[in-house]
Amino acid sequence: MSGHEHKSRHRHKHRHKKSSGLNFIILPIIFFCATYLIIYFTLSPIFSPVINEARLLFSDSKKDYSKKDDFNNIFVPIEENPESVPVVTKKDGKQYVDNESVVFPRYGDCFGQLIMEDCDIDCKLFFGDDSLALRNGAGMYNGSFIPGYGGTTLVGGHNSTYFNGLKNAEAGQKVLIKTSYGNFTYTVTGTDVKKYNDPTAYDLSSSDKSLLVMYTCYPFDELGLTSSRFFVYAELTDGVMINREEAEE
Amino acid sequence: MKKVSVILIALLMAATTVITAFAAGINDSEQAVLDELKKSITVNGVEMVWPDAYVNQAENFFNTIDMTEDQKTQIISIYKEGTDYFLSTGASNIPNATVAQRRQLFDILTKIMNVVDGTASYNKSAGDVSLLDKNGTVLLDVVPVLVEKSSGKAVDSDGKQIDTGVIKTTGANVNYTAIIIVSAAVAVILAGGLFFVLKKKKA
Repeated sequence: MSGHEHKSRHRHKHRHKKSSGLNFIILPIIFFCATYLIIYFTLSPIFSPVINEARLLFSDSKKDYSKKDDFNNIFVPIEENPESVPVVTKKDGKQYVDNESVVFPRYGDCFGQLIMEDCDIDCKLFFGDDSLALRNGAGMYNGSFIPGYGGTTLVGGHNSTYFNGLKNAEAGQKVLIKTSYGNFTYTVTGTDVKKYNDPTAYDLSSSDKSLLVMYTCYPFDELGLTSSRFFVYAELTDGVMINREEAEE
Repeated sequence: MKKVSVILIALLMAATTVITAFAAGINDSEQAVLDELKKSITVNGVEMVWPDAYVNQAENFFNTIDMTEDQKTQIISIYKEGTDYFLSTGASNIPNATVAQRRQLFDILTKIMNVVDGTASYNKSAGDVSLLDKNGTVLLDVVPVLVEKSSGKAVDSDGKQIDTGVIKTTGANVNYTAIIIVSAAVAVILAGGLFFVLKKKKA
């Protein structure tokens, strides 16, 4: 073997070593980073509700509903000073919340808090049930009515997060909805499983009865789309209604 | 000076009567529009109405505004124009109308929304129409469809039930598109890695 050949082979071996080192360190790092970034950006919307719920569970700090997120929060709890809500007494002798004092929520507003202790549910209540609302709490369908207005209040929530506890719902349990204009207690009357497009699952026609219908996807804990919903029916048992008639000027 | 004072007072009084303060609740004008929305129409012999949920959405919206008599007159007039136009198409329901006819109905809807300083937007993928205020905030969100008054259901030309969008998907928030993209990306990465290893082994 000539000296020239030996040198060339040595250089080639050295380059090969250098190249192997590059392949076995740099490429796996690039693959890892690329995979991680893709998974992070595409799956984070799926896991964020679970992470938020975990934060909620392991946090011992008091919930601060005055803090604004990327939604408008009009909810101010009134339990400490219920007298702050002005009422009017009508001809029937009953007291009603003065509608002039009620700030009617707009789509996307967080306007209350929904608590169902027996089912370990405690979440924000939004007016409107788009993905932002359902990511942050329970969403009231804007074709139903706010608590205290009369008629049906239809509220949906994800079965993997805020409404997972609905699986423990039973007749007789209490549901508390807190709003800035009053607190409303409902008593569960029953549960049912129905198809999402079954119009008999709820009644949104105007009625003097104040009902609460909560629903989530069924079966619980199932990943993926399902056509069935678990409905929980409740009726108002405590709370001062809003005066629906416009004040005379 | 006295004349100027009199004019100023007169102007002030006129201003206070013209500018009506926002009043919560449903006023007479709003109630008249709601009554109009609740009226049924007979389409090909079937009595059809707007779903209760849509009328409720309008009522919730009216609780946040104070509609004037003039606005009411304009809205009802344009609404009737829309109803007459729809009946003239001969379609059994709004989704069964032709694209051009639906576009015409959408233009009429936009005219109604302009009366209350709003606008309308069509979401092609979801098939729903959003009515928005001037800031883009959703006021009403509906699948444009009439339901049978007797059953509360809506069916398309094939007899298949049309979803009015009341009940939402509340499953585990699964994004199938994301899963497909991730799966494809992981498969490409694994294939690339495998190809690289095999190539190395051969070498």
